Amino acid sequence: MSKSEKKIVLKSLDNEAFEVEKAVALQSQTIWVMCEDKCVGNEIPLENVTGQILAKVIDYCKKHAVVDGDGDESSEELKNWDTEFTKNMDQSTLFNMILAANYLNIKSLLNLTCQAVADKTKTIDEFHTFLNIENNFTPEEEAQICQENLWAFDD
Amino acid sequence: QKQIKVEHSKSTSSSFPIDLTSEILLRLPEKSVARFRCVFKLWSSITTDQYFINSFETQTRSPPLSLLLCFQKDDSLFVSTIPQHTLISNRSCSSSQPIDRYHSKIPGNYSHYHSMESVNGLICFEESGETGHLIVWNPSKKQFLTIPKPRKIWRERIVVLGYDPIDGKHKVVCIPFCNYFSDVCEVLTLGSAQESWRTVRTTYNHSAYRLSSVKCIKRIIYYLAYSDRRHGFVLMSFDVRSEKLDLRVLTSDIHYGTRLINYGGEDVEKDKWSSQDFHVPFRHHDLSLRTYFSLKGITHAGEFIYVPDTFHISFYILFFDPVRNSRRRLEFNRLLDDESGLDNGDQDKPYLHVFPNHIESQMSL
Repeated sequence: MSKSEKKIVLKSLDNEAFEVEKAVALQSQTIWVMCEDKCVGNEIPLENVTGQILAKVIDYCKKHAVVDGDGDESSEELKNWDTEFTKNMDQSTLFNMILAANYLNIKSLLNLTCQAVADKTKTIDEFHTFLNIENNFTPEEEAQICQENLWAFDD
Repeated sequence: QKQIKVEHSKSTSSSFPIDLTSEILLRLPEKSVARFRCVFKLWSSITTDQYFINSFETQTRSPPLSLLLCFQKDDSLFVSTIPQHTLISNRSCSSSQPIDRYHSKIPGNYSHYHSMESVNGLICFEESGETGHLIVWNPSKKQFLTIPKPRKIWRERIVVLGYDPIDGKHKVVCIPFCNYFSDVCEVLTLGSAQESWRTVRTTYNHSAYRLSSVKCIKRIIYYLAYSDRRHGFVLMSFDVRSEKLDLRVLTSDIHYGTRLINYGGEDVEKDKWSSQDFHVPFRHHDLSLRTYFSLKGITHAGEFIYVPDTFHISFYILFFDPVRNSRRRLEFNRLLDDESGLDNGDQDKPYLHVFPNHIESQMSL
C-alpha cells in the first residue's frame, strides 16, 4: 500500500480540508461505506459538519484509532481522556458533536456525547436551553402530567 | 442504519432529531426523565412510549444495581436505596445515604414479603391482617398496585414475581408452599387488560419450602421444592414466557440449607446449576444491638448479605464473601432524625427488609 492510499482527506462544510490516516477516518461508518463503495476519490466532502466540529471529531478518532504502534493505551486512560474531552465543551459544541457523531455514524462518540449532555443536564431549564424548545403544553395539560409525575419532584 | 439528514443552519437548535433526543433521555436518571416529561409534548410521548421504556430498561449499559432497604412504621413506609457499586471496595464503610419516607396506604405494621427479590425493579408483597391484599410495588415510581387474590385457597402459598425480558412483561406466580402440595401453580400477567389468574399444570406434586430459595434469572423463576412422590428435594423452574412449570434438577445435593446463587456468566445461558458447600452462618447475633442478623440475600458479586431482623437508628449490614473468605461492614449512623420515634429503646422495632440487586424501573403500574 502506498503512502497516499493510507491517507484520506475530509472536507468540511466550510471547505476546510483535513488529511487523516484511513484507520482514523474509518471509525466513521458513514466514511467507511463511502470508501467501500469507491464512490469517492481520496477526498470526502462532509456536508453536515463544520471545520471546527470536524477537527474535534478527528481528535477523538485519532485517540481511539488502533494505529500501528499506538494501540496500547489502557481502557482506563482512554476513559479519562474521554471525560476530559467533553468536560469543557459548551452546550452548542456538544449539540453539534452529537449531530456530527450521528451523521458520521461513530457509535462510541455518539454514546459519549449523549451521556455528557445527560450528565450535565440537571434541570428542565438546562435541557430547554440545550434544545431550544418551547413548552407546548396548555396549563391544564401541564398540571395533569406534573401531577402524574409528582414523585420525581420531591427531593 | 440511521439515515437522518439534518438541515444545517446557523440556529440548528430546533431541528434536533427526535431519535437523538431519545438517545439523551435514555441516559438520564429516571427522575429527570419524569421531570422532563412535564415540559414538552413531544418528550412526554417519547418517554411514555413502550419502545422507550423497554430501551430504558434493557440498555446495553448494565443498569446500576442497588440495595433497597425498607421498613414500615405506623402508616409510613421508609425506603433507602444504596448504590451497590459503591459497595465494591473491600473496605468497610459507612453510608450517609438519605432515607426516603413516604406515606403508604398499607394498613398494619407488617407486610409479608414472599421473596427477597426485586425483579426488574418491582417488588411483590402481601399485607398483614384479614384483608391480606397482594401488592406489587414499583419503588422508583412510588406506585402500588393491588392485584386480585389467587383462585386456589392454599393455606400456605408464596407469591413471586417473574420477568420476561423479551415481551417486557412481569408475571406474578402463586406457588404451593410449606407442606401444601399441588401439581399446579397460578399465573397472572401484570398490565394485561383483564388481570386474572390462570392455572399452569405440571406432573409433579410439589411444595416450595424456603422463601429465600426463589430466584428469577433471565426469564426463568427457579425455586427449591419438596416432591412428595419422589420424597426428595427438587429444583423447579417456571418459564415466565412460555408458562411451563417443570422439574429442573433432581439431586441429592439439595437439602434444607440449600440456597440459590446466581453467579452470572455462562452458566445462566446454559442453565446449569452446580452445588458448592460454604461454611457460613445463617444467623448471627449482635450483643450491642441486641438483635439477630439473618442471611437475607446474595449480591450480584456473590457476597452473602446479613441484615438485622429489625430496624435500628444506627446499624450495620454485614457482607461476607465465601470464596475469598472475607467480610466487611456497611455502617449506618443515625439514619433517621429523632422525630421518627424509632429511637426509643427496644420496643416495637419494625422488621427490616432488604432487596439486593434492585434496579430503577420506569414501568407504570
